[in-house]
Amino acid sequence: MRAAGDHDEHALVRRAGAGEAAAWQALVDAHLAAVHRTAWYMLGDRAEAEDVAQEAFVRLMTKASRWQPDGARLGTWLYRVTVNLCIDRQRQRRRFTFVEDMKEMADTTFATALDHRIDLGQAIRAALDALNPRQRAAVLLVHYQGQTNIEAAAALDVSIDALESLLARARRALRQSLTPSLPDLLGDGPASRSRTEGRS
Amino acid sequence: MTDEGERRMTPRQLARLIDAYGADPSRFPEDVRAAAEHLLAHSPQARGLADAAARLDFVLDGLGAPPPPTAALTASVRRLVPGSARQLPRATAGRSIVAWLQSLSLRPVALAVATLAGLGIGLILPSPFASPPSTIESVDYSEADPTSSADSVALEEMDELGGEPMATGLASRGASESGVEEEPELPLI
Repeated sequence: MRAAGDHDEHALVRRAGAGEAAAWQALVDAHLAAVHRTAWYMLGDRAEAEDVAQEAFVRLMTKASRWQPDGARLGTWLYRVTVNLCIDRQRQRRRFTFVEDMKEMADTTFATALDHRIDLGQAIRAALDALNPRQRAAVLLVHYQGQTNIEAAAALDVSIDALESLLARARRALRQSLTPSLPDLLGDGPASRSRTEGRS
Repeated sequence: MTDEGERRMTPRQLARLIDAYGADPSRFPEDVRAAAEHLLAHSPQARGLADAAARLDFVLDGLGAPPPPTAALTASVRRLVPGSARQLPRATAGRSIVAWLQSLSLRPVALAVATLAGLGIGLILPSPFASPPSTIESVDYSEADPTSSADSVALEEMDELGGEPMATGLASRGASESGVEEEPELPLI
């Protein structure tokens, strides 16, 4: 089933590469939202996410005419390109904005959010930003995008074991960052308890 | 028997899964999900592990959903039909060209061009030591020693530095060259 779908998609890429507008637009409609979502989770900024999404499709545009699947699904290839573009952009951002220690900055932001109980989203963003970019990518692909371990490992071009290691280290770091704030972020925790009870 | 074997999972194995994937079994690898759910259903210890992870999952879910792509982005990406004459949207053409260059693995070339441009600018711009002393310096020194003129103080200062003004300027450029090699100053595009 999936193989047939993949075959169709590869054919669609080749048709798009040959200049067929309808095929290209079908690819865009199928993948743009996921690419944009990935970039947004990685970068936390709408404008930058849009830039990255566009760059990812420019890459696809230049590659489509000589597309070789090489075993990778188009979605996986796009995720990989998007994550790498985001990591490049974060490196540039660090270089050009003179942010010497992003972790320190994120910790500071996070501490501020804690002290003043400002904004849960901001605190989570700061904790995510403090992660190593590949750890962050692993979390966003599995936790936020709902990818399977196989899909996420392929997107990051790592083994399943390596993916699980990235995930475990990321979650450990996130727990460490967020644990002091859990009572504040969860209130007295009834939402968490009911969620857990509902699951078990 | 096979079914029982498939369901067997130790708390340690479950802890490893939860460490990586969190508390929600729907995120577990498909081939071990049933065994993990079985253990969660029958072991209070396992549920304890999951409860702790569920708190972090719940907090992470508070990040919220990303906004959908704007209509402008969708329209511009849909226009990027391979081979068409109007591929690059005007607003982001510069960035897209950079992306295209990067896709051709021309990054080292771009870095070399940027470095050469930086060196060229460094050679073309006049050295601050080659220009006359500033008025502010003249005023300060004149006040310190009313008997000397601003120009003579400036010349004496250059003598103390042990070189001709142009030589100092070249030395300054030399320093910037080594700086370029260590950390290339790329132009903001």
